Amino acid sequence: MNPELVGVIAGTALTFFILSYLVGDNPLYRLGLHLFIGTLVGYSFGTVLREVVVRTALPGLVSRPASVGPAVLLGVLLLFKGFPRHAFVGNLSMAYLIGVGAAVAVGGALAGMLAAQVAATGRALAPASVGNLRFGLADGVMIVVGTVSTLLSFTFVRPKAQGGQEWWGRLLGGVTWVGRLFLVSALGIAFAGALTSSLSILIGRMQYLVDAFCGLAGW
Amino acid sequence: MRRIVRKWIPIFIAVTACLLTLGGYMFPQTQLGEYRDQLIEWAVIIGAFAFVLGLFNIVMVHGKRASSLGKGWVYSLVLLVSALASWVPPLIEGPSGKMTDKMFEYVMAPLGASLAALLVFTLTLAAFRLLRTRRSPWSLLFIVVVTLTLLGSTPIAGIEWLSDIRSWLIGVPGMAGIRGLLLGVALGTVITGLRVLLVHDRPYSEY
Amino acid sequence: MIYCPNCGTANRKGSRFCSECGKSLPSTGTRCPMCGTINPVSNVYCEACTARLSPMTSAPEENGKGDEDQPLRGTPSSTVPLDEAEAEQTARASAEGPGSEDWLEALRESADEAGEREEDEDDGQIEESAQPPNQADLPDWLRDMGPVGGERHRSSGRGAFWLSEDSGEETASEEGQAENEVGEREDSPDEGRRRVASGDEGALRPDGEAADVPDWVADLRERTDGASTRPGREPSAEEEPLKEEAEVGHSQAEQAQDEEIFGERPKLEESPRWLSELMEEPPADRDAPSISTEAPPADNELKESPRSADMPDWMQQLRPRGEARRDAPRDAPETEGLLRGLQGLIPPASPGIESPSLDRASSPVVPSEVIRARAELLQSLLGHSASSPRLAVGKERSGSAARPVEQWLVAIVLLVTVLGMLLFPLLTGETPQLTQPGGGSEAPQLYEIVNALDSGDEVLVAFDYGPPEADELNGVAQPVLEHLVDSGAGISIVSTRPDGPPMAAALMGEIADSSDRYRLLGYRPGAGTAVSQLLAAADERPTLLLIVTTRPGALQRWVEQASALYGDQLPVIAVGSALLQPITSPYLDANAGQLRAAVHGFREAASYEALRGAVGEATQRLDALAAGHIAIVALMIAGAVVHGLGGAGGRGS
Repeated sequence: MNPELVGVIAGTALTFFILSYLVGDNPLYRLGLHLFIGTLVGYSFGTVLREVVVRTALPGLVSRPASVGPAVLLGVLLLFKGFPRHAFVGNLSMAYLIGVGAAVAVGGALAGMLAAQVAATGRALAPASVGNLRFGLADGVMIVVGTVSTLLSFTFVRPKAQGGQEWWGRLLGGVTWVGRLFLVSALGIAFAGALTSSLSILIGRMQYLVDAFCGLAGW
Repeated sequence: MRRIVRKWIPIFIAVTACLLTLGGYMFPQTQLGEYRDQLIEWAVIIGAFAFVLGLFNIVMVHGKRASSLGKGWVYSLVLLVSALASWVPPLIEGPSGKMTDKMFEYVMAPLGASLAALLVFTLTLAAFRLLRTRRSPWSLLFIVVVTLTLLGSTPIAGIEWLSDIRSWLIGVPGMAGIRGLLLGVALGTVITGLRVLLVHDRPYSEY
Repeated sequence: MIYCPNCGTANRKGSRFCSECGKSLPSTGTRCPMCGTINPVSNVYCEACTARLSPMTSAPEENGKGDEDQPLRGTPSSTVPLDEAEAEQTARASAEGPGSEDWLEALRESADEAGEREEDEDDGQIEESAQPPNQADLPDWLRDMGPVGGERHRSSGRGAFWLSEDSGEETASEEGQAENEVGEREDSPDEGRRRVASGDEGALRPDGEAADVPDWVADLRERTDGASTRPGREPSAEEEPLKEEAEVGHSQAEQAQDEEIFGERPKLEESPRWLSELMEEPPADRDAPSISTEAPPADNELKESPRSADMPDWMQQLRPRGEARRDAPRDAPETEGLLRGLQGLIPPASPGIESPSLDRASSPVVPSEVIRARAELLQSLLGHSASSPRLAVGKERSGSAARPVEQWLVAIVLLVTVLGMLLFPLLTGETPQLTQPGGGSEAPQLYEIVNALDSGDEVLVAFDYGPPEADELNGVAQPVLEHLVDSGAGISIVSTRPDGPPMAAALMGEIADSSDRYRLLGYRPGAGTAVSQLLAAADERPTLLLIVTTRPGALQRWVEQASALYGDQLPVIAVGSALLQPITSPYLDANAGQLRAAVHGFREAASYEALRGAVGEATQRLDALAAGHIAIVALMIAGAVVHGLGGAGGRGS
């Protein structure tokens, strides 16, 4: 039998395995799911071995051992995490990973997110920016108010309303309400995006099945 | 001694690595910039070992289940066999090899895409039942926004103006809401990173 | 730190599952019986619903163990974060301290004997830990209440001493430690009372004469006096065998009673005991009250119980061994409220784990007639509720029955719509043309940016998607990548997903006539770290960065790291799924300038194809997408009408 044909039949069958979940949880679905995870695990393992160990670490150990050696050593130590009694040895590597990871995340958040987006929010009311918006200043104000109120709506601690501070509580409550308005809008848009995206994937799968049947039927 | 090895050395490593890397972001033109690149390169290599460790963990868990004939052992066996069969092609051929390509085309793409396609049914059902589970003005607002966005993204003849409304929704209130969210996430990231730097959080330590 | 009973891995405090083997970890908190919230073990009341977390014991334990390792009921607990190891060391240091009292001397002897194995393993730690505790760490109220000398040291540190006992370091030492704890408890029977007696008399007096003693304490004392044990009174040597006999005799009677009830109906074993009793018709000739107020079955009964064979391994390991069994938590009868006199209604915390409050059995409370009447009433209500509230059951059934119907409705409508739109051109030879490409998209801007590239430019393409998203993103990315290849710019492809490079290889294999037109630089693990490394390790700074992804997190990492490393010197564009559009909007804002242009989903990709004068996958699938959107909106509105006007449940906000 033609290997391509076998492949198409296998792909079609596996598609049906997973879509059979629409009827309910069943062994075919679970089989497909575990097959997918197993294939992904095996593939990922092979890729990591090739890309990092074979193509980066091993040549690096030969050509520039002082530069790559410590990383390989820490990597080997990390494997001790697989043995509960000696797991503490791997904590050295974990500490390194977490330290560098935290710094990368903080650096990205500070320089790549907070600075740029705070500045952009501030510039939303600038005349040059307002001119590009559909409703002009109203849109600019809405962007500023929406950003600030959404951020404030995540405040989990509210000061106790005592005497003269009641106005502050009310103000915060109002801001939270406005923020929720923007948040619900944003989440609605994100939900619609997720629907569109998954619908596009479903269309792709159906197209695959239609093409497969047409091919098998000789249409 | 034991305490030094298990507590203080990891703390020293984490704080030093964090400070040097962060310094590289702050002063990229100095020697710190080079340190940052070197430290990050090491982290990528160590990350590969961590990845392998995670994969081994999956294999061990399913191996135990398959060998003990526990509940669902057949599925675990399928997972193990498929994992064993699929790690060789990418190692030998790389990502653009023929075997790898076929494995993706006939096994991984159908399975993965079908799993992702199931999401649309789940999301639509959730939207269908929204007012059953939560009936409030916010739910109504949510439904209105979703409706306008969906219809505006592929407007049929006669309601093309919905496309403009959708663009405005995404560009003004949607952007403000998402920006607020992203700023919150960034602030949370900074705080978490600072907690690691200040040794307030030690996820790498048993102490 | 929680040690997995299955594999011994140390897991972070608060973990529910082992990070190593995935097995459930024993809870180190106390689960609220009313709302299910996990509370710190030191809490007496639930943080969420303020329900009492443990039954109030009416008296110290029969064998003379007092409250030495238990927080005073109703007193606030320390809210300082607990560092188990340090607390344990502090506790040990105080036991070693020179200022110990007599009872501490005895405690030390027994502790040294029992915990010898542990000290062999970790002798250095004890040396280090023999430091005077920091009195400044003590809250005022605790300092006032605290005892003198070494005992005060036990209370200091970052956590309360009664919590520190469970802070093991290694699985291997846990057993020895457990024995150590048992030794401590048995050899210091009056520790708690001495602590109270030597503390500030204004705070709590053992004779209870202080004016500021709360009512519930007074109530507690009265009941305690009524029982056989008295505070400050140790059981004499003669009493011990008598008590043991009483316990054995009592448990034999209970065992017989259990056999009578459960022996003929093995299925009842699956039910909680109190439920089994409620389900059982009370025998006419039975003298015992229908609500048991007796102590739980004795240890030998537990051993012979067939249920123990069904226990999973990790639970078997948690079962107390040896002497510790005598301290196993028992179902203490409730001593206040409507449930007073009942036992087993509120489950005790898990045995052997940080469970300071239930580690002792109190003397049984003899229920009065009033209490018994209340219990009978409760029992009748419980028995009644299982059959009578037809309304609630019917409502639930209708909800659960409607769910499959709704599922089928959604599935059929969507499948028929999509398949119909795909088959329509095949069957009729006509294309429906429901919608048109374009409309407020960023496609023209992206087109201009790519169009401006020439053969000397270097484009870094981040291919961060895999097989699940390929059905959408292949169609969206194809026109842009074709344009990129046609521009003649150098293309370097990287990925932070292991399944990214083969997707890139497959797609670029279709687009480019030769593999020389692009370079596959491969995959790097590590999310943000990998992104930073890939950007920094590029041979030369790229002219343009193109992000092809479906995931908000990946887009965020690439944009942020590119901004952090290169500022506005590296233009960034994106090709993404429709899901990504709201996330990209802040970056696309001209004021931020972090993303120059982006194309999302089939419609904007179709717009790009139109600019290129081509008809690709995106354009072909646009009608099916439009029809699917209409179907989803129709279903959503129908659901809103049905559930909104139909009067079915729903929460207010």
